[in-house]
Amino acid sequence: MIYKTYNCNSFNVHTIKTDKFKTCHMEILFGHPVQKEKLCMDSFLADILAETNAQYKTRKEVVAHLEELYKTVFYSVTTKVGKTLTSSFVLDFINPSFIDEESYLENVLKFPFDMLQNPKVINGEFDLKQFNFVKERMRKEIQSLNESGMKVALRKALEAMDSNSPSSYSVLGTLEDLDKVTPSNLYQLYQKFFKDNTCDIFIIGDLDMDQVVSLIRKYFKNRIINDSPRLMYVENEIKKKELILTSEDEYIQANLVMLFSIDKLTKEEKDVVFHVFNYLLGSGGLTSKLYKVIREENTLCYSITSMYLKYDGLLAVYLSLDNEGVKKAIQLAKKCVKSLVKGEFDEDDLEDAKKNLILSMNLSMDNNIAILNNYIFNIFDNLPSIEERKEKILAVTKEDIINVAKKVKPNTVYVLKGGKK
Amino acid sequence: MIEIELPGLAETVYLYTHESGLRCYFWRNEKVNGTHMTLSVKYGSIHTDFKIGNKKYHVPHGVAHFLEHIKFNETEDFTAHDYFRKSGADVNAFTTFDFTSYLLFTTVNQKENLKHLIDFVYNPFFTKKIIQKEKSIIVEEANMVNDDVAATSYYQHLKNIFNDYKYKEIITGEPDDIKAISLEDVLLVYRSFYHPQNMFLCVTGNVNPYEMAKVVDEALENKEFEEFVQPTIIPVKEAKDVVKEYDQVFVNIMNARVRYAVKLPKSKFKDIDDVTLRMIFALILNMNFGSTSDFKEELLAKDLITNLYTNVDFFDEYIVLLIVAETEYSDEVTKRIEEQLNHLDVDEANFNRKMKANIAAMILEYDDIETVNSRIQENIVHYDEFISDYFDRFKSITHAMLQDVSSRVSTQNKAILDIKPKKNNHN
Repeated sequence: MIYKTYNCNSFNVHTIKTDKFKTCHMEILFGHPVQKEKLCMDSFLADILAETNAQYKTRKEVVAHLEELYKTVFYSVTTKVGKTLTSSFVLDFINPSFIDEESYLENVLKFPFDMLQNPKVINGEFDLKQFNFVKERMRKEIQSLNESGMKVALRKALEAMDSNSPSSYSVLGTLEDLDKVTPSNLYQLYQKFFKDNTCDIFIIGDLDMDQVVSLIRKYFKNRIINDSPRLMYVENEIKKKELILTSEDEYIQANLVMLFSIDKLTKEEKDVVFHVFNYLLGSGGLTSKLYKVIREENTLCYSITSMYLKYDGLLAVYLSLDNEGVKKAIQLAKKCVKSLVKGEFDEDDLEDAKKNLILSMNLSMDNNIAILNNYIFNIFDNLPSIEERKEKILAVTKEDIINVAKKVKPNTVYVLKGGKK
Repeated sequence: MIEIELPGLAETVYLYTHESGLRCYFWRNEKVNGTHMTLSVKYGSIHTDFKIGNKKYHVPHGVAHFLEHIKFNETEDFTAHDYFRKSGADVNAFTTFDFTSYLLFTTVNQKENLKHLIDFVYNPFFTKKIIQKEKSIIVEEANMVNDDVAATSYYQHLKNIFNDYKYKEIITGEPDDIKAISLEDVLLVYRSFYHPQNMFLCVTGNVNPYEMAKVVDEALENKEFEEFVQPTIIPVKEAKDVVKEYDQVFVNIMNARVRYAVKLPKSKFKDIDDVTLRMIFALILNMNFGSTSDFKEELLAKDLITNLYTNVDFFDEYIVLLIVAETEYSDEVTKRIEEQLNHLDVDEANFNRKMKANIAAMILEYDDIETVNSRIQENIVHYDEFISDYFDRFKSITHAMLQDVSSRVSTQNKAILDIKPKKNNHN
């Protein structure tokens, strides 16, 4: 695999050349600091830019064109990583060596920039029909966040922890925010889009990358330089006293979310050690402490997991279970964390955790998106390469785990009670 | 070892049949790190009534899935998870309507991992204590499924479509079914169905097929299998009519949707093989209801829907075409879906474009060890053989064939499930 960065002044192109895959994957990333009141509009803009444009006026025309390009896939997604909001425009296409058309690569690479730079605009406003359609779809998406008990419990736990923390913001914003978006103010946002965002393009595939970059330069006419640094980490306050909240809903099971703060990790602990700790605690599936204690020994649930929210400095433990078991599950989960603080695990457990994390990393090398993602975080957050991290994982000691376990502090417990028969 | 060439795709799948009857399929991809192994048994959630000789047996719903859970216990205090955690493999299992599969992903110790996959699946360690303990865990799993609106709508719709087919029953079994499962049920199913002649192995990834076949030989060398009792699933006769043509449910969702299904007897399409017929129906539905269809475009333009998708599924003697729309106007949308199904449009230009796009998708399928493994499993379960000529079959589909199949679709047996929000008190 050959990694290379091309500086194109107003944007950078980061390439990975490999013949490992039959597909090529490209992500055009626009990033800026998260602003709560603008989240809905930012998501709306990314959505409408990937929907249609002045040339392909309906979704039907867009999809038909993509089919002509041998089922090329193009979509946008807005994500929040810590304090940064990123609008990603993603393109998946078949390796040109399988296609007997000389202009195929040029036509494929031209497409996303046509969409981005040539939106369907009438008299200084986004086309009303298309605008209304995307708006309605977003309304449903915002509403559908309430269709899963676990998603509701997680959102409410984060809001209860600190509703002013970017960690608690929904990328889609709220229905009230959505009502304030108009075809006109959305277009005004679009006009500042290239100025307000830093732009990085990542691409992986078996391609002549010099040619790729020259085609991108040809079709991407962005001339505005924005080299603001990406601010990643949210500093969430550590609570002196744990917050415990309960509400009810019409589910059979209760949905339980436990948030823990993680106090000041070093860079190495963030990138490496905490992943091993989390594997031992709850992300390691059927052999994790939480799973063994809460599912196997006490049969309280079917699945339980812990999620490391690295850029939010948080750890979330979540599970669905019978109302009756909630209190016991909370006690047991805390006991599991404490047992890691006390070093109640043997070297074998640690070695197995390391081995399995390395297995996941090796498997991720078979996926072009996972390889590209690692590169993205390497560029944005100086995340060591997969090979480097494997080495660092092997060096993690029991003492390292105890040290990070000590930094895990209870923050908020949210119980969405069930009980429906 | 049989080498099965895949015309048009420049790929080879290897088939080795062990003397015990276990069929082993291998696909080699030297560019990847990983290997995906699945050992599957042709026994799924719907197989609750069967015959051995002239004797009939009935087991509770959920036995296949229950057995899958407890199969991981190798001794009283050692599980396959414990083994694979040490050897460096990610192991899991799943149960469908038709089959149960034990699977793993690994990048190291391929031979040992394959050997142990075979070892633990063919190690019948079941105790009353293990069964009792697992019941409360699986009841929580069933409750989790019953809290999921997408899953409950799916099963409710199947209940409205099928009178007697067991596809309408939840794969885990309901909590009462789970509580009724006994050690005798588990042993009966294991002894009757977990025989190499009723199972198949599939290994995809960076492997040498010949080496893998050797490992299979070694793993099975000291295992003694009783004679296969050849259980036969007692066929369920299903009436042509649906159970309920229209049903409305109020559930814990925010956005209304409607599921429109037509139940077509397979006997109407006797002249076309199942593999080709599936591809034809997928094309017809895509052309008529997909993103490039006039139908979807019009409904979106008129704000009648916010989303729409389709599916085609084969259930023994019936084919079910499904259209799901996210809509506040279920009456109008179902009327229009019905009109479209009765006047299916197969425009030739659209057809040619879809063919081009699908051929590209077929090439890309052989980029991923999991997709190829799933494709082989699905083939063996549905057709009892690996289908090597997808590419040629697909290319042989003509516009006229689509027109012909379209003309045989009727909405006479339809089941509409109108799903409405129960309340609006979140946020």
